[in-house]
Amino acid sequence: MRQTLREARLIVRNDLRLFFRYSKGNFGRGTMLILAIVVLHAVTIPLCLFASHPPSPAIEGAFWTLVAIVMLGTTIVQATKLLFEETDFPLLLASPISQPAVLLARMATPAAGALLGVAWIVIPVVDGAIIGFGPRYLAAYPTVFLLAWLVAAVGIAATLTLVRMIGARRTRVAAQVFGSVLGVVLYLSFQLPNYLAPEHKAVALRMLHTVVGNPLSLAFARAGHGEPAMLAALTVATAGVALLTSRRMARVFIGGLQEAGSTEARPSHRAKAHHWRSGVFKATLLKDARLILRDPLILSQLLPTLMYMLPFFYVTFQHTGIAMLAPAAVAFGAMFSQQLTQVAVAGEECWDLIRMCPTPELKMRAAKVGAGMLGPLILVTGCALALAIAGRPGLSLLTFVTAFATAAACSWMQASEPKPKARRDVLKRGRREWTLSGMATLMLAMLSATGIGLVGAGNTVVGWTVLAAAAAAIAAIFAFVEMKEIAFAD
Amino acid sequence: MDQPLFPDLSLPHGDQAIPPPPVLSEEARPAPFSAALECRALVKRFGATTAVNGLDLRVESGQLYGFLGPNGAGKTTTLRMIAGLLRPDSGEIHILGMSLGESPSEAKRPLAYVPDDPVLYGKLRPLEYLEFVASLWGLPRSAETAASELLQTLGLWGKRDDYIESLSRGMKQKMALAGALIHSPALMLLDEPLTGLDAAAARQVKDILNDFVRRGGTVVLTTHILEVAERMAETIGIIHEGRLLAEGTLEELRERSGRRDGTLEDVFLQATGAATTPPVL
Repeated sequence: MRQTLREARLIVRNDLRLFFRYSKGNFGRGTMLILAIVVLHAVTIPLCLFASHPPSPAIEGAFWTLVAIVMLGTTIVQATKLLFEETDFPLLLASPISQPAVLLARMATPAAGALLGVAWIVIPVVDGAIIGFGPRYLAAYPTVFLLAWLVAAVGIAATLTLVRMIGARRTRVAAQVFGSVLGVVLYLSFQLPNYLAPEHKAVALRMLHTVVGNPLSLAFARAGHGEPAMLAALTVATAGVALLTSRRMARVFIGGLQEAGSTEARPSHRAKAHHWRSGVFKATLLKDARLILRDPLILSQLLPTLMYMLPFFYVTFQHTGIAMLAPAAVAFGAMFSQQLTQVAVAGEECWDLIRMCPTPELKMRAAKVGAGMLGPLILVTGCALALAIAGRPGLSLLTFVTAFATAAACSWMQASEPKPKARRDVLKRGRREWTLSGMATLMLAMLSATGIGLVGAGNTVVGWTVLAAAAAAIAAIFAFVEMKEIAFAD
Repeated sequence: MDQPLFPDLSLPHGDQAIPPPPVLSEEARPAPFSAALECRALVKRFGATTAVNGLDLRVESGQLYGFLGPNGAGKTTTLRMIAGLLRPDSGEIHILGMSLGESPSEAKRPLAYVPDDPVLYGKLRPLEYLEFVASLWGLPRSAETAASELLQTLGLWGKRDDYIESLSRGMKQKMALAGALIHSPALMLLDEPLTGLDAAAARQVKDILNDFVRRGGTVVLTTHILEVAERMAETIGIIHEGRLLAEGTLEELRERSGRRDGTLEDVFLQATGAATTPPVL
């Protein structure tokens, strides 16, 4: 075991050196993190100083549960990244260093990621507790460090178990969806009590109390406020789980690496006979629609948008019933259309092919807009049909027309001045740019959704006025926004 | 190999042939004996580095031209400029007599370019990829037959239901070659076309290129495997630091270098000045 630890330390030392050299370029993100920590200190310290008593075990349990869940989401995503991103594995695995040592060292990456992911909230809260309630809360720092390692080990073990069960590629998709949905679920959990009736609220709070008051969370809470026995137990448990994972899972990890790097995919279904399409528009539309449909990353990137808006539509549903589908269809149709158009246009994978062919790229742009709109319009059609079946055929037709026109205008605007970038980065949170056209499309989507929502709710005069304003904006977009050629840097 | 590869040679996956070079319109058709490719005083700079420095290049129709040079000599930059992927700082490029600067669409129509590490749509199937490429060159529906034949000829038919991302590097290279051949180009630019191919696949690609040239097509290829250039290329150009140092048939190059019995490697090393490197003991 000593040998394993020595080898792991060797790798970690090299990783740290590389981490610090690469982080020099991430100055902006680091500054933002420090700024957030400083600002939150200004909130947590006075709160803790003027609090009449220390937090109850339930509150502390809730805090540690939250921290653990966020860490778990981060580690599972990072564990799959370890499998797929090109690193120094060929070098390490070809060297005499043992496989468990490599896996143990690589656990440091998700553990560090988990720590960084919660640092902005943990540091101010813990510092506030130390100043307000006493130095025993200093123990929260080793606790969060141990928790990060424990969660990293559990996250890696869970990921590798999935790899063994469903394969590396499917695990990557599952992890991406899990990671993106987890944050939304947490957000919705906090929002849920606001939308519930009083009798349901009490039940929800009792359930929440049971969740956060579980023995594990309470154990972290006790370790966090300085109970030596709990801290020692947590240390032993973390070391045990980390070593066990590195020993038991090393072989699965190597298998996962091989599968991730291999070219042979798992057996796929035999495709249907291919129907050849000619013509640039048709072929481009089909090509981009296929690429969107077959990209699992897009689902994980769009799903949170849908989920974040659920409370809003729930409230609307309580007031307007089935007519709620009209603004939902318009808003989602427009937002998803413009996002998918962005993926098809800016996230084009074969720029060399497009640029060296005799067909001007601008000729393909309309087809790409069509491909981006295709999926969302199927969603819109479903909503419109549901409205028609529910006895609102007029609203159904108006919804379809409004959603189509708004989605087309928003997508046109997004496609007018694309900035090519890696496909996986187009919709990535944190890498999305808030441009003027992006803001304008968002406002247009909201305007159209508000208009149709008001019409659906029976407020026809105001509703039609808002819709007329949206129609004018759509006409202006098609009249004045021109598709610009992409300027490629040599 | 004196016999044409297609259609006489029986193929491993059927007896179909690669589509012949295109029938160019009257105005687009080059004059007899005209150059398939002509670059005049081509210059390309990246910041302070001059990658291509006043390059003059003329490749006659129906030739296989070996474009050689050490790493960083400017080969890929030159090919990317000819393919329209980089804009030259100065100079002119004519493809089959058509100016790339003045009428890019027309000039690109008879052209195909396969980079050394081709990027393909990973989530498309081979036929879907060829369908898209064919549409970019405005081919009619009948291109489907040529696409199927190409996949069979290149040994990719068995992989037609798989996503391109699951193909091996060599197969991807062949997929890119299929994409280049689908519109029956008259001029092919190939950057290290044999990289990543096993011996059988490399042989197959070489046969395809030889046959393509025999049918009147023109190939400009870069390679670090000098033996390939020695065997395949009728004319060899050696570029170094963005300039054409030497050009001619192998015999002419040998003669000019004063090494009548030397190999292309000897000529190449002498031309680029690498021959002076002391041997490692």
